[in-house]
Amino acid sequence: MEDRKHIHDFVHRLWQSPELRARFEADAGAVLAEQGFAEAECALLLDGEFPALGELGMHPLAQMVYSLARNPQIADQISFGDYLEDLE
Amino acid sequence: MGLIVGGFGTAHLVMKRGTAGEAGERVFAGMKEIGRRIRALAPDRVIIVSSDHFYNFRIGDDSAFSIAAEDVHIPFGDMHLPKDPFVGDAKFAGDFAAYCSDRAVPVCAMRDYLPDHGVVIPALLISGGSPIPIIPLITNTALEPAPSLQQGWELGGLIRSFVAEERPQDERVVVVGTGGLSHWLAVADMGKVNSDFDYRIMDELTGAHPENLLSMSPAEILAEGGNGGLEVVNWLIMAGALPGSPGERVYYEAIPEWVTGMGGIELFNKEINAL
Repeated sequence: MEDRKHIHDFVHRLWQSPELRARFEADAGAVLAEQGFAEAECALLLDGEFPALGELGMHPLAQMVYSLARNPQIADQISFGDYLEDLE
Repeated sequence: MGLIVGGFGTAHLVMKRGTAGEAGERVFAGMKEIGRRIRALAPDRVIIVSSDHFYNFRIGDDSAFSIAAEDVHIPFGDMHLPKDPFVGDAKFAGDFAAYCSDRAVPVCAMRDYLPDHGVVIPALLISGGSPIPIIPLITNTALEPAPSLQQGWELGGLIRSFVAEERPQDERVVVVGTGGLSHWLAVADMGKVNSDFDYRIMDELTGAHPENLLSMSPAEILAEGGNGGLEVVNWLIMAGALPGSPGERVYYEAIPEWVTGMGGIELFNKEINAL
């Protein structure tokens, strides 16, 4: 995974920064273009599906996080919000 | 000396309500039941053992086990969870890391840790509105190879001896191992659930035979329980803090819609029951 460090560092920053995530949600291509990735890497990141991310060598945990950033509608399905009112 | 008064294993995630029908509701009911049982034990401290889900750690971080040394925890806020602060115990955590430093399983004391769902959901279910100090003990299942069940078991033993030797008289501590059971994340088998693996883990632990699990290598767990199944080490840490203690299953559902075998158990401390 060490040779994928630049990819993992980007995913970490993406998940940590609400501002970067909002920009990514609005225009993923523009944010990826700022990162200095190779063209093939950008294509796989824009694809965003697990097989593409696996081909990129991204760790599965990082894939999960990246997928949530890439697809906010999936994040809405992994939500505890509806249970909060039923806590004791 | 303090005492481990109870141990629990539980899932630490549910997905959007209604997406798994009645089975999902039974899981949530089981998780709430575990919260009730923990409160009934009147703990002074609760150690929640969870994995980090790439929210704090980075790929390549090489500490297998870390403990959050904070008096107040600020949640990360994933899964639409509230970011309300909750109480920790920096001294407990720091002293435990120091206690482990010259023993078989090192533990790193960490600052500025932002608890994700793996800690926050169990903490919400436990608190019942009262601020029981929570100490997050975090495993790094992204390590290759991942922390072994044997390491987890030994770390649980250090929790037990630390509480007995270093903590105040009559302090009551509960340990909660969270995560799992079988699930495959971001790999071809995602969506598969292996109930045989899940029942084996729960049955060996509640039957007071965790030693039957200790020879399982991370590679075997990956094959039988998936990469998410590596979180079973969190349950072994809990069991190691209550050696020889039997228990019972509180809930179990195999939920493909949530891509996970969702289980919960309680272990009853044999030392208390012998009093």
